[in-house]
Amino acid sequence: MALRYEFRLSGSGGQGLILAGKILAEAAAIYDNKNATQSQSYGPEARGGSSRSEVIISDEEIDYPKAVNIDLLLVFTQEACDKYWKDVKENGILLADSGFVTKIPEGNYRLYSLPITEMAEKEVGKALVANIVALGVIAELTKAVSKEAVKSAILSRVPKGTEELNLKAFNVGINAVKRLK
Amino acid sequence: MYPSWLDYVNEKRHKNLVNILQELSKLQSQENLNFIIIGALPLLIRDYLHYLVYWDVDLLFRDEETLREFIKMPKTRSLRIVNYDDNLMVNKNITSFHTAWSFNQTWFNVDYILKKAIFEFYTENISKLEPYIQKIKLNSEIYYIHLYIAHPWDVITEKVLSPRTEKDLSLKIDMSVDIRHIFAVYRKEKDNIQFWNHILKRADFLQKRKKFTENFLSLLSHANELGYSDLEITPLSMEILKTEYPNDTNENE
Repeated sequence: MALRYEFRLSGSGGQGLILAGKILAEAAAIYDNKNATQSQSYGPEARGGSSRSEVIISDEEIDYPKAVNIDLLLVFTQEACDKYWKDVKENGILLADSGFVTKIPEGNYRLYSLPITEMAEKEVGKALVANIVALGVIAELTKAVSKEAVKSAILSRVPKGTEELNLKAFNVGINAVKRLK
Repeated sequence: MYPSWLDYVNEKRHKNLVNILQELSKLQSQENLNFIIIGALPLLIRDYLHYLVYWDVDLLFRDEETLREFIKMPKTRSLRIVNYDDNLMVNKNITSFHTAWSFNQTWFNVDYILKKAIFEFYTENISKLEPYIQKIKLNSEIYYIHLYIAHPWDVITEKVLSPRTEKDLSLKIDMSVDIRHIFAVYRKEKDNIQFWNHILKRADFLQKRKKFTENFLSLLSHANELGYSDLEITPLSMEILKTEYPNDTNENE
């Protein structure tokens, strides 16, 4: 059966979730030779308000580019969690940054609540790479895209001087999931 | 027949993008421009960006009426457009509408944009702005592109002044797309006096030259922290940017 994986990354402007969505799609399409779409939308207070990126990864051609059956929802704000948790499909994944999302409704999904931004700050030394830590978590949790592909996509997005820092952030995310297993 | 910039577009998406550009060539009213392509694509097409990522197509419209007319314009039957937004997303300085376009089974993000006074900025010198004209052959099919796209130096001027770039710089966001674009153009043009004359005039048009030079200097002085330690900052650029200039009328906007 063909793989089709739908992601929604949601939070507020400035958390780098649009870029994370692009990296995820680029990893799948450019480096893993799959098909991928990536969309972005901002809330009414845009670029400072809410932001949302959806990524669809598929082995087959993508007939419709909007996410309708979310396999993984990443929430970086309580508001995003409250708004989107119902869209996660049964047995899908709700991944929450526990530093910002404290009230998680009960639902038929697998919950992963991790201090993503705190890990970025403490283990990498820069809270702003929380989006890259999240990508590590997502790659390790879902295996929808290979870790090597995500690394390549990250490297194509960052200047040479910060490659090491960003790869470290990615590995922090991977290791956080490994510790859960 | 095959432009080199296509090397930086995922091969699976070549046909779709070229088809979209051909479609936009038909939809662009060239007598009285209804929209112009801004953002990264003009920089890619004009040979400033040399890396492979997912590019978006950003269409800047003259005004809301023109945008709404564009949405209604008849388009090639095989083109599918999916709207990501339910309505125009209206904000203080920018109004946007996000869509995805497809001629096959790959999708390209095409964003419709309105920005106060910026359409005039990009199109003021339209008589001097040469359209991008290209015949492209892909898999024995030929596509014709004839499109007005923003001048790359204008794109950079706007980006240097953009609140988003200012925010990215203040937060030292190394992944900032805008900063990457600014530095890509700077690397190539830093010793080109025509470039400096052009962008300073364009900053004058926006009545923000002082802010522009301050922002540009700030970007260059933080290049190292942003991960661009290999960026060569030349005496000419510093001399030009450090030239005193009186306050602009729009300085505090």
